[in-house]
This record gives sequence, C-alpha cells and structure tokens, in this order.
Amino acid sequence: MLRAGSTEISVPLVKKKNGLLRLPRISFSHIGIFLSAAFLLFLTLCAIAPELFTSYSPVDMNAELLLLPPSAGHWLGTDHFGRDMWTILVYGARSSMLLGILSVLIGSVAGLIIGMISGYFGGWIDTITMRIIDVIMTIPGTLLAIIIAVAIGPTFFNVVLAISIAYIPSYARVVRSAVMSIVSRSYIDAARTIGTPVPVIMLRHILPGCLSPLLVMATIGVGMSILAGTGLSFLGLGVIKEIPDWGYILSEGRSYITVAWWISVFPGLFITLLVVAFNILGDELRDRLDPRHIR
Amino acid sequence: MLRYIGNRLLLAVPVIFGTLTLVFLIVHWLPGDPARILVGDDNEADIQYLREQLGLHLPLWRQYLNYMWNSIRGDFGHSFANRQPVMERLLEQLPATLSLAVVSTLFSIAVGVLLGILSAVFRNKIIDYVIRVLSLFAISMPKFWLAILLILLFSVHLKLLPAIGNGSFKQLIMPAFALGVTGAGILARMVRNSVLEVIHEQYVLTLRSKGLSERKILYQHVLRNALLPALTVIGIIFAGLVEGAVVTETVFSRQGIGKLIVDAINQKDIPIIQAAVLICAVFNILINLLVDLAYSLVDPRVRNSF
Repeated sequence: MLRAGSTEISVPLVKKKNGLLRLPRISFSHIGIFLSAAFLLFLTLCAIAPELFTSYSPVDMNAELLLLPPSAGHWLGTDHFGRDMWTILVYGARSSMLLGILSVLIGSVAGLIIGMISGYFGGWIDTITMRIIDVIMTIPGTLLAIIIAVAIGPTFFNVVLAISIAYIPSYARVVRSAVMSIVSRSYIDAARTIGTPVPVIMLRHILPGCLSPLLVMATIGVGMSILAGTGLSFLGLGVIKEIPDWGYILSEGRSYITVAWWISVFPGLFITLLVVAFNILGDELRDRLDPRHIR
Repeated sequence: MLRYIGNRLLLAVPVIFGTLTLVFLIVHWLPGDPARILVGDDNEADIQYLREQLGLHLPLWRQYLNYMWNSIRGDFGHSFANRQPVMERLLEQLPATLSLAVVSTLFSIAVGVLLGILSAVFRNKIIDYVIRVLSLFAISMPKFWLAILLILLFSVHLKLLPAIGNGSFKQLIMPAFALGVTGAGILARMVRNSVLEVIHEQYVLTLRSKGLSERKILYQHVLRNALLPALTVIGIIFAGLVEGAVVTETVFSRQGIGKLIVDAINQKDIPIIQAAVLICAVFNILINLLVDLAYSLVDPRVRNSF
C-alpha cells in the first residue's frame, strides 16, 4: 500500500479481491517439479545410505517368510527367498541411479567431443564421422547394447559402457548441428581473425552454445538409460549380484505372478516413477532453456 | 523422383557394408567358443572337428572375407544350433514380429495423434492435463513391466485374454498394446507441441479474422501442417519396435525375431546373430527411405525441389 510520505511499496502475497482470498498460483508444473525432486532426493539418499530406510538386510533369506503379501512388517511383501521387498528396492536404488547417470555422463561427454570436432572442422573428418555414426545408428540401440553387454562381459561398468555406446551417436548428432549453426556466425570468424587458438575458440565460444540442447537430451536420456539398463537385467543380460537389481527381481517375479504379484509390480513401479521424475525435470529444463517453446 | 530413390538406395549400399562389418566385429568379440558350447563335453577332438566344419579355425580376416562374399550372394550360412539355413529360420520368425509391429504402430498412431490433437485443442483444460500425465507415464513405463501388468489384469484376474502364444488375434491384443503404448505417448506429446506451434502462427489468425469456422481451420489448415513432423516420429517408432519386440516376445512367449536374437546371443549362434542384426539394419534404412518419400509426397515444398 502506497502511503503518502513513504517510498515503500509493499505488495502482500495474498491479494484480497472483492473480499475473497486468492492464493498465489501453484501450477501443476510446480507440483510436478517438487514431487520429482523430492523423489530423486529420496532415491539418492537410498543409494548413499540405505540403512536409513530399512532395518532388514537385502540378502537375508528366511525360509519362513516366503512370498508374504504386503503387511505392516513388510511394506511391500517378501519375495521367493523370504527377502523383504522394500529393502531390496531401497538397496537397488544405487545401481539403478548410478547406471542411468553414468551412462549418460559418458555418452554425452563422448558425444560432445565427437560432435564438436566433427561440426567445427567439417570436411572429410565430418563426412567419415557421420558415416560411422550412420552405420552405428542402423543397429537398433537396445540390440546394440545387448550385444555389447554380452560381448564384453556382465559387469556393472560394462553394462554402463554398452548403454553409453548405444546413445553416443544421438548426442553427437545433436551437438554437431548446434556447433554447425554456431560456427556460421560472425563472432567465430572474428575470433579466428584475431588469431585465437582453436581449443580456446571451442571452449569459450562454441561449447556454451552446445550445452543447452545436450543438457535437455541428457536429462531425458537418464530415464531412457535406466529403462535400457533394467531391460538388460530383465533379460538376464545385466549384472548379477547378491543384491538383485530392480529389473532382475522383476523378471524373477514373473514365475510367481499368480501367487505373489508384488514381486514384479513394485520394482516396475519404482522404475517408472524414477523415469517419470527425470522426464519431468528434463521437460522443465527444456521449457526454461527454449524461449520459443509454447507451454 | 525415381532418380532420387535410386540415389538413396545407392547411398544405402556403403552403409549396409559398414553395418555388415560392424556386426561381424561385434559378434566375433563375443566370448565363448560356439563349437565348445555345441559339443557340450570336453572332447577336444570333437570340438576341433566342429570348429573346422563351421569355419571357425580360419584366421579372422579370412572369415571376414568369406562372410562378406557370401552375404553379397545372399548366402548367410547355417545356424550353429540346428544347421538350418539362416535365411529360412529368419523368414519363419519374421511374420509374427511384423504383424506385432504393424498392429502396435497402428495403435500408436491412432491413439497418439488423436490424444495429441485433443490435448492441444483443449489446452490447459482438465483433459489436457490428464492426457499429458498419461503420456508422461506411457513413455516412462518399462515395456516388460506393462506387459506383466496386462497379463496380471487380463489373464490372471479377469481371465479375458490369453497370456502366451501367437496364433490368434486375441493373442496379439496385449502384446500390441504393451508395445504401442510408448509410441502413443511419444506421438501424443509431439503432436500436441506441433499443433500448438501451428495454431499460434499468423496465418491462423488471418483465417479466423476471415470468419472461417474453428473446425474448418483445424481440419483443413492446422492439422495438415502440424502432422508433418509426426511422420518422422512414426518412422522412428516403427523402426524401434524391433527392440521392443525383444522383451515383449519374451514376456508373452511369442515366436519372433526378438526371441530368436536373444536365444542366438545366449547360444553364440553367430550366423543367426549376424543375419538378424543385418535385417534390423536394412529395415531401419528402408523405413527412413519410406519416411522421406512420404514427406516428399505430402509436402509440396519438398516435392517441388526435385
């Protein structure tokens, strides 16, 4: 309220209009972002310190507790070895999240380098690189990941590597087109004219322009990588460890689907929610970074 | 136009060569000795004999040359597992996967485009939010999980649909749905954005001020332009179905290329793996070509540039 003699204008959060209270508008996207961030935070904590969320051990096989439905003692039931489902899922968060984030990290950094070199130098480097990328892209991504994962052996890092390799071509292409549109601008010519060394041009001028499309692709890519990784585990081609990965326990649950649906249903639910969270964040990022995008 | 097609097919040849080479390299990277796996026991003499029979004793470059030369002539060898000619085995399994792919793509297109348009036209109303949330979940759900949920609901509880097998249409419904949902979600989101972009263009404002009815604007002008980019997405979805088929066929115990590939990888059945991956790759190239052709048919700007 503007008061005579004072330069202070205070705008109350809650406006009174015709006597009715109007609350500040919280749109659905805000709710979505909040829930996604909260869920991701929860899973990150699960990955770092699973003991905080459960008192059971994921490897505790107890013959007396086989195939119990969800109850107060076992929130999500028990599996065919008597292990508590909630515990398995909490402990499995680490490998799922690491899988998604690492694959995308490796894939996007490699794609960034390849795309920048290909886009900046052009010529035969670009042609050859693009042909190789075309060839890699004709093989469906999941298939490529399966074959590579089987070829180099079922360890965690190898699965990460397999999925990254399957995604590098897409990242490289996106970066390359961003680079090519930047290179055509005059400030690059200006930098070249005054003798700026190539690596400096790349880092200072070209890199920032590539980052935003890459970032959007990467965020959504984490979701896709997690789907690919759990798919591999489901087919039995992923890592087999003591603590079952979400995809693996899901596939184990198939045999018990008629008597114990919770063994397959809950892992899938967790996977879906994780991917949804990353997708929501990715969408939000894209909306913020692209000024022309219509809500 | 014919020259364009011819050009594209010609350009596809080196890509196919490259794919053949890549496949060969990756497959021979696979650990394990197929001969040893097939013989079963440790009889070294038998293993060595089988290796020579299968040509595995030759140096890698010779195996590569033999492979390339035979592939050009259309001879893809015989399956390590049952000595059946590879092409024959693949062609046996192809129809099941193809029918699954076609039905699920049609489903994706029908549902995805419709929901996308609805979502854009009724922007920010309840139905828009519902469709957006649904499509978000559709693209986030693992296909194998959705498949299991469907089996749980329709086969175990409601006993309406069969859970396994691949003879009848009834057995096609759930797998096609499981496979198509993701594509529908992708299309719904994409079509929504596309239609919204077009609706905000200047010419739509002009059409409105000329007094054209909303419905006419939608059908005759907006949709034609908005649906064009959807063609590319449809192509991508169709080509991506093969990988989806791998999990779906496993869950529903259907025959098909996907199951064939996974079994072959586990058995180190090299000729099958090579030929199957090659088929997927050729399929990809063909789909891309078809999408480009469709673009040229539908968009007069592209057509006139020939």
